[in-house]
Amino acid sequence: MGRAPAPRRRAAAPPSASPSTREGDDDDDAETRTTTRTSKTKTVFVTVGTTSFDALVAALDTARVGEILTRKGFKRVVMQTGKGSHGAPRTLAKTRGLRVRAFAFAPSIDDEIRGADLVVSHAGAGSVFETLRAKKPLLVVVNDALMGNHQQELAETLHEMGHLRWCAPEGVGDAIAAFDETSSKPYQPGDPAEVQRAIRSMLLRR
Amino acid sequence: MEDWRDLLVVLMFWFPPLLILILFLQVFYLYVWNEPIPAGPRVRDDDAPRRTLIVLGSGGHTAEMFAALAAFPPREYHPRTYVLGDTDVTSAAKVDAHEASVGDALAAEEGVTDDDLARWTDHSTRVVPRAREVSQSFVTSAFTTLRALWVALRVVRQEWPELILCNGPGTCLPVCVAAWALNVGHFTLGGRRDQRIAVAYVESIARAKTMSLTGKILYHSRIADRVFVQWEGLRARYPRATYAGRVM
Repeated sequence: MGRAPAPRRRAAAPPSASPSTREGDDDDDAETRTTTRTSKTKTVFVTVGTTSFDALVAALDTARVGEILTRKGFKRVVMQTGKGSHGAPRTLAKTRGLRVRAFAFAPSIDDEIRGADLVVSHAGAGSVFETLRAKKPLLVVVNDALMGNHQQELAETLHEMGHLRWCAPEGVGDAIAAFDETSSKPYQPGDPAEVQRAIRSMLLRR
Repeated sequence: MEDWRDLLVVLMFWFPPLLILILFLQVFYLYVWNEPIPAGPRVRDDDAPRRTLIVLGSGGHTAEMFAALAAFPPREYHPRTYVLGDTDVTSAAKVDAHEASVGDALAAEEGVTDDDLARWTDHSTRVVPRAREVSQSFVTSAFTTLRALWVALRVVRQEWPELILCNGPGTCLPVCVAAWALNVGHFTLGGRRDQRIAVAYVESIARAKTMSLTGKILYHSRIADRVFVQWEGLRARYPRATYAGRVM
């Protein structure tokens, strides 16, 4: 039966490399609606994944990072902080002109990713590919407490392909400062059909 | 060379008990457990459905598996059995969501009868205990591994799939070893070639340069008939592995 695999969730992604100016759907943006579209609340979304990554939260929770963010025009920080003991970033929240919202976990971070202009993520494949699929500029922070951890190889490889930048937690401020949101190449999502075909022919050959 | 050091550690600890278990199981299989294979004799042609057992890892592994499953037409790969680890609290809901959307998509197609729909969405969920919890000692984990193997063996024996699909982490190992032991037992009894259980392992997309320990074990032991890697660079280091692009 040479039927094509069911079509799925490929349709909605325009091949645009530019950082999206799509509005986030939460009401925070209401106040900017009166101004022009380009001055929408520029948002950075930070995610640490299902465990904890205090080194990243702590590295971001400084006055210097707040200054870097406002200098780059960011007005809003949304942070998923996980199981860590650091909790919500208090120092960062004191930065003038920067609104900070933090939560430990959410059932899905899809909306947060889609509403962001820059995603700062741990190196887990889940959030990395979710961000790349949403065509958002991505800065991956590799957890060096897990040195020799295989997550680094994914970040390195995707960096070599030009899809993201990566850094260690200590360097996250500088990496954000140096981040060029227009330079990332869009990721072309893979297609599992090839795997299925190989398996089907393997089963037929028996 | 690193591979061999890793594997040596695994073999030192697990090979003797595994060998004893497999011998025991073969005897058990021969004399006690000789009930008919559920699918019955199969004549493999392209239209026959493929009984599929899908091992879900948890978290990112589960997400990747469902991304891969999108390319497996439900009318060809059914009935489907999902195997979950007993500590995995999130995957069961994802199975329901996936199967519900499969059912909706099929129901929306023209000319699909209720009968077809029932066959093509036929699925079940089985739970297997974890072989080893994080930070468990090697001594107690010997017993939990045997228990996991035993349960996996019963599940695979009862379902007797044509294909086992797995993508790590280590929770899929008992299922794969069980399939291997059953294959060996079956063919020493003169079982039919087309009743062999095929094992396909898809290495995680996160593995761009090195193979996971689970992948190494399944690759070097040849328990997996096919090891898929999602990066060409990794394929270069494992010549028997298959590179067929990325699943997401």
